[in-house]
Amino acid sequence: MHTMWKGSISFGLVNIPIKLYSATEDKDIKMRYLHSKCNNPIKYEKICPVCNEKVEQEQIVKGYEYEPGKFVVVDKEDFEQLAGMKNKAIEIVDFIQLEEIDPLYYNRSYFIGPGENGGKPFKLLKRAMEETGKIGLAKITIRSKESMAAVRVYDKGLVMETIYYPDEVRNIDHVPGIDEDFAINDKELDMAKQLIEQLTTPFEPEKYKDEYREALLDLIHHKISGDEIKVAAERPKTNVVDLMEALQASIDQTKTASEPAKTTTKKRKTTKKKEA
Amino acid sequence: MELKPIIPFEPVKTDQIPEGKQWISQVKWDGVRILTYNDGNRVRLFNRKLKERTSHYPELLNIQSYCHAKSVILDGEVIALGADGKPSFHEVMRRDGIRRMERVGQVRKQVSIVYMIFDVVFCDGQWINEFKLADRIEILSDIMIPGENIQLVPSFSDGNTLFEAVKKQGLEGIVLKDLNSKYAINGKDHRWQKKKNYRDLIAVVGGVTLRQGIVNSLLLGLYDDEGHFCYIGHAGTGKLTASDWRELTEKIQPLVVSERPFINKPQRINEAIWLRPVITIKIQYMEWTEGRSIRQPSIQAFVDVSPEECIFETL
Repeated sequence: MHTMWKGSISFGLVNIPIKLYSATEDKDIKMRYLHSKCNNPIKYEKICPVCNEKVEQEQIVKGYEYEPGKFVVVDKEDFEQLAGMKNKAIEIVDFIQLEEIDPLYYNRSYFIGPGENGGKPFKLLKRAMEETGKIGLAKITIRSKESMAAVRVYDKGLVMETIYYPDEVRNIDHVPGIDEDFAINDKELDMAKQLIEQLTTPFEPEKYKDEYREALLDLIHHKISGDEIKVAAERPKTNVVDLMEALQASIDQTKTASEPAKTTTKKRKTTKKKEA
Repeated sequence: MELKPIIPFEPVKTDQIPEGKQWISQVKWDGVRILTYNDGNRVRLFNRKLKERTSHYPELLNIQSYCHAKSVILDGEVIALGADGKPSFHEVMRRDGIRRMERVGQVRKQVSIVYMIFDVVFCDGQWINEFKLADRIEILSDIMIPGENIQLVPSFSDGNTLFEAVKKQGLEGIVLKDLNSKYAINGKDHRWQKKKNYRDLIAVVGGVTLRQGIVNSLLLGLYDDEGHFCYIGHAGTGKLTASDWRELTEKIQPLVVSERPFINKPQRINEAIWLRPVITIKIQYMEWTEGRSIRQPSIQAFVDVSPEECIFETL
């Protein structure tokens, strides 16, 4: 697994070196945009519409539009200064119960693995959290964005879920029609509850799969095998046995040139293996 | 029983070919080191960094078709041949570098692989790493059935002759092994020695130059003992195709920085675009110059090695 971030978990005076790994992956099939005339990937150019010229990467700065058409430039040093305030730590500020966080708050999941010399304290923290049934609420800075996160026990290790700040979660009151009142009679309610009971099963994630993706993959494979013959024809047929024979020929050549062949037991074994 | 992946025995570098009857030599096949673990139930593949490669090489999973042993750990090199019929690191990385596993089936049709097996560490429920190499080779030839994708690496008695032949065929080099040696798990010592025909290293890309908006050469660096990132040369030729260069041009966009990452000043400094040292790449070269730079570097393939590991190596 690819390390995404190196740092430490800190709480109180304890500091545990850790590494983060992405816990989930997006399996969407990546499509590229092609020029329909020639099937080559198109290329994006950055152009300034005012100067009417192509803009190179090093000529680009970031700016904040504080009123239409007016910008303040926030340059690299500004960002670095802000990021410099934070140390590279997941700082656990409180321990709470998992149920206290509504799933709505969860954003992304990362596996936490021990960093260099962090094996033991890592295990210790995991055991302690397991036995108290608590999860850690932490502050973390990844890529100059500060987030809240929940650190919890998962299977044989720990995971960290970044969670939204309360002001990033929208207010449910703003959903149209949510406050309208209706009279509901008991018969209707019972029927709905019965239906739920009938459809209730244990959660088995293996049961579910992305059928759209499978269908798309199928389609792609069909298209590929359509011109498979063409691809195969382009590749020259080479064989490692040819190469090994060429090598043996070179050896024999060298030998006859320099000295009479030394036949050894090892040589015999080699031949035996080739015939096997 | 679950077989835990091991870190394989590595040869040390040598310039001399050791003398004596206990030494055999084998071709050093230029590919990726893969160990096959069959615990009797399940076949799994791991590389020498213990990263799993099981789904990368489906050709190797039907182990009954090429190995009699009920359970086994095999050590070898997975190679792919280039258009010239020689092992090509670039080609094998087209397989080993796959990260979206649904692509394996399709790339497999374009790049076929051969597993060049040279050792056996565990066989029929027993660890045999303490056996002498001569005995392990004997066992290996008894249990293996070579086929289209499976070959045994032959052993030769005369290292000098094999090295001459390897040079003539343009192969990577030879490995010299002591017939009395045990298999040192996670070991690297003089009982296995490699003599290279051509040299290679893994470098970090710290900058690029462009031609008509497309990357056309890479400025390469390595870390020295003090952790300084040192420029060692630039490479613009090798195995990358026009579309590899185009893809690279897009890939570097988020890595562009304004300050030079190298501690020393490279040539071509005026046109260079500096990058955060993240991308790592395998480079073949002729030799080191006195100014700690490499001669005639040639790009092989992008690799998944972390930049901190790319340091100057002492011979």
